[in-house]
Amino acid sequence: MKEGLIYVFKRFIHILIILLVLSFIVFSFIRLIPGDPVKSTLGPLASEESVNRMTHELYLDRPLVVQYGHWLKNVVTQGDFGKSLLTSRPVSLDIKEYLPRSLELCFLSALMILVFGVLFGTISAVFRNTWIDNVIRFLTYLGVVTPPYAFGVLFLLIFSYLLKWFPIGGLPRFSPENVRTGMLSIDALLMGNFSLFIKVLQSYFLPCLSLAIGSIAYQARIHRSAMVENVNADFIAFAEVAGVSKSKLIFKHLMKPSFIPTLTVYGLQVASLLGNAFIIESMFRINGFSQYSLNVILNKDPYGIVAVTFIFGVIFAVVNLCIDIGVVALDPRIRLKGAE
Amino acid sequence: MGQNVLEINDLSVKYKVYEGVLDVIPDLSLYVQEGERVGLVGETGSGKTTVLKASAAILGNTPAIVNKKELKVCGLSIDGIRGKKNVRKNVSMIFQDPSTSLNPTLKIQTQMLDILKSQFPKKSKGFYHEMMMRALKSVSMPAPERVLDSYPIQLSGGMRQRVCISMALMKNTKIIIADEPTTALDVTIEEQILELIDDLVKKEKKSLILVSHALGTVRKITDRLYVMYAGQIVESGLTKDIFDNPHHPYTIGLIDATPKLTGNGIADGIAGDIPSYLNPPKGCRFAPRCPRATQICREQAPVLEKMEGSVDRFVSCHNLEVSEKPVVSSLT
Repeated sequence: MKEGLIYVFKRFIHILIILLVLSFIVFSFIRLIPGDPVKSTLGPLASEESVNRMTHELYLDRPLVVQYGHWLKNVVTQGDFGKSLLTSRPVSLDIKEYLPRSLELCFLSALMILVFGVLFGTISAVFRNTWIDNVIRFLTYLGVVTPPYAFGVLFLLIFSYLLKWFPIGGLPRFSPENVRTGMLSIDALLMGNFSLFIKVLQSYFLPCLSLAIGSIAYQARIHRSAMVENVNADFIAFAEVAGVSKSKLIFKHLMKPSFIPTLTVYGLQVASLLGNAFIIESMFRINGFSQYSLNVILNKDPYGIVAVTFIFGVIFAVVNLCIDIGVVALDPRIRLKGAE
Repeated sequence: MGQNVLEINDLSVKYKVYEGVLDVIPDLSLYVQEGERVGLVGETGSGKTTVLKASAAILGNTPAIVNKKELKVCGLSIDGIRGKKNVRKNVSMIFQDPSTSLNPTLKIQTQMLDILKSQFPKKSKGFYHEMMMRALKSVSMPAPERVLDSYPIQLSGGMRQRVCISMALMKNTKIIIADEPTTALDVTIEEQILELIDDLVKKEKKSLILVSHALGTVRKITDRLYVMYAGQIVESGLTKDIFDNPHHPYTIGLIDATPKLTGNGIADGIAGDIPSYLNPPKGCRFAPRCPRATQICREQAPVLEKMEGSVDRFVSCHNLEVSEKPVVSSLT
């Protein structure tokens, strides 16, 4: 276990360095974009005095390094990402409002990807080269090549409009005093309102499925090929002849090594969910972080862009760290080497 | 010698591949008696491993089409699921490469435990531990406690092969199948492992099938020998007889190709390669490479026939009468 901890600690330091570099690069690049954000916010008729005052307030009149230092200090000490020119509020407040919903969406999608991806992959591998395998392979191929919004439209049409099983977009509204974490399902549970919780899950089901289905298909294919590759491995034949029971052979001796490629791909899939979510968010009328970040970028909101990019970076890094921990837990070869 | 513990009659194995069907083993029969040590030699790709895998009923994982007229382990058929159980109960197998035959993601302890649990269900922890320690000690493993708590990657090649042997022996089976157990090891370890296998087989009165490229090894350890070429047995008989007086041109070439202690350099080996299984020669499969080949060899496949006045000696060749090249057998 000690080797594992050393490895994780090393990865953690890496991530901190990467985030620092990322934030600095984004911070400097924003300044290179032509056009003065202050002038575009205040409009062409603003007096020079008010432009100067706002520029000074936003720290934009100081050298880049000083600006960055100021920004970093505020982020680390107060969690303050500066003020958004788009919403005229602190960026951190915006994030607090929009991010939880998107995280919830992505988390549920990630869960679906893991459960169904591995399930279909395993079924496909166990029944390889039979009709079951062929059907799953065909469907997963279809899933990989179809863009998520196509599924979104299809699901809305069939399950919401025709069958009326799920609401047509939107999320249940909560009165402000009941919003504690911002994640609706958790808030509903905190309220002790179970029927509301079910309602929340119902509203999330279709967007999550539309967002996840491509990744589920991809994941199933990866998991199948990983398992099929290991089925022919010597150690499976050896264990089989040596007398390991069939169920243990599949779910332990075969599953554990097969999970290594699956988990690695899974990390990339999950980390990119948030970035891919904006179409789904707008399609299902979920006022989420992906849409917010798109607006911020289109409106050249300097602190907004930096914050959004930073958050994306953090999420990517955290997901990857989790995946790395998972892979390390599964694969002693990496763990033992990584600790050297 | 007693009864047959392994009996293969008219086994045929084909592999389906993209280009077509590989007719790897057209028709093969062999047997192993109780307490007998049998060798199986032949060059790479001659189908030795396929025969072994068929005997251990693990060809199911590959795209193989097995058509066994009769395949018996300890008098029990190995057809179907029940047959598989018979095999699992009676056959142990040691694989070629110890670096791939242990699961890289599980501790030795876990792997051994899973085997033991299926053998002796519902026993105490102490019982299993005792069994594992005994198994590791029986292969003279240094520091067995540490080995149990290790992953395969933490062990050397020789240690891994010892672990594999101990795992194969944990099942009390009559037959041990060893598929080139020393090919992936260096020479000093090779000697130790072979001695170990030899000792264990002798001590426990088990039958052994040994596949090896090292003819010296085979000669030392086995009682009887099968020589395989391109999926067919071309010669079989007592090991001593075959080495003293090989009849089939392939066997002669194979023995000649081994470097000898007496010098004379290394022989050229047998020119050419194993024929394509996709479209094997119509007649004798060895004919394209055979120095004695005549018209009949190219047209009609020879049959494995018992040689007159011999003990269990079979050869399949049309041109046995051709004056034989004297063979200097100074292999040790």
